[in-house]
Amino acid sequence: MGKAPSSKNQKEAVLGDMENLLASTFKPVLPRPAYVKDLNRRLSNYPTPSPEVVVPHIPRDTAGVILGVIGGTALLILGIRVMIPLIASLTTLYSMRREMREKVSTGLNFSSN
Amino acid sequence: MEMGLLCMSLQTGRAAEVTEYSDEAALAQAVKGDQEAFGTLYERYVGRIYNYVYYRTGNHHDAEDLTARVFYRAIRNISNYQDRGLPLSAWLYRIAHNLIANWHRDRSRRPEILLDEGLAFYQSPEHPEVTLLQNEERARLLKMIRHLPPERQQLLILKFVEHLSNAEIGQVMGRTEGAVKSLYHRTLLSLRDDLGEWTITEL
Repeated sequence: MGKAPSSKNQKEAVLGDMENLLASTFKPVLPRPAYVKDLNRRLSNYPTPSPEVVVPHIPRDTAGVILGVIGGTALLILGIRVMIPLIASLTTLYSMRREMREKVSTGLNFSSN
Repeated sequence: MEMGLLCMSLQTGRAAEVTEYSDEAALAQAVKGDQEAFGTLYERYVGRIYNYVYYRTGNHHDAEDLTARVFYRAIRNISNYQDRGLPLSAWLYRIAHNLIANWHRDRSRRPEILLDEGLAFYQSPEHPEVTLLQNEERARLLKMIRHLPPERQQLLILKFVEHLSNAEIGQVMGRTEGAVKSLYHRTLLSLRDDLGEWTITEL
């Protein structure tokens, strides 16, 4: 029972010794003043990039495909809407011409009789 | 309010008149491209970064080279800096950590890292023999530390050179305070085992 605390204390003491040893080993070092000054001068002459303007990222390809599909569909619908009355008009004209021809041919038959 | 006034004074080009202003104020200006503000941050952190790099590389020559690279990378990326509630030092230490990792990778084929200039050893007022013995033991300990995994080295340097708390170290390392404490304990035990009982009693 009494062994555990003693062992724990011993372990803490050893770790404390390690900490002291590390504290005495790691001492702050100073960079050369000439180096610090020179680097500061070089950095002050370094061209700093201006902050980037953040714009929403839309992939160009995807946007192009979407716009192409929408535009194509719109053109197709428009074309169909134009073609329907055109075809209807042409059909009407064609039937009128045929009727006129028939009338002319029957008129000629009557006159020849 | 005070921060606002400080920012105004910086914006009007009177930065030189301001003797004390926070990292946040200087950082806000540096992000906008104010080189003077970046210079202030540089002067504030160059010593700390140099210390960190020095103890990770073991010599002044590479410490100077890598410290310069840290600040060049910082100035290139400062305009994209995003405030995530961490101190600026955490960002700089992470840059340094990554550059040192690359440096070690590049040098991994080389046989040994040079330990130059006695690694900041000191003349003790005691007998020269005692000083020599202590310096030898410290050199041995530093060599052992340099063979630890990088994150353990980072932890020890931040704790003993920079005197950061476990919470601050956690911010730098991207770990919780508890995880840092646990890693610290394991590192001390590992070092103790490596160093041997006799060395500790000797010193």
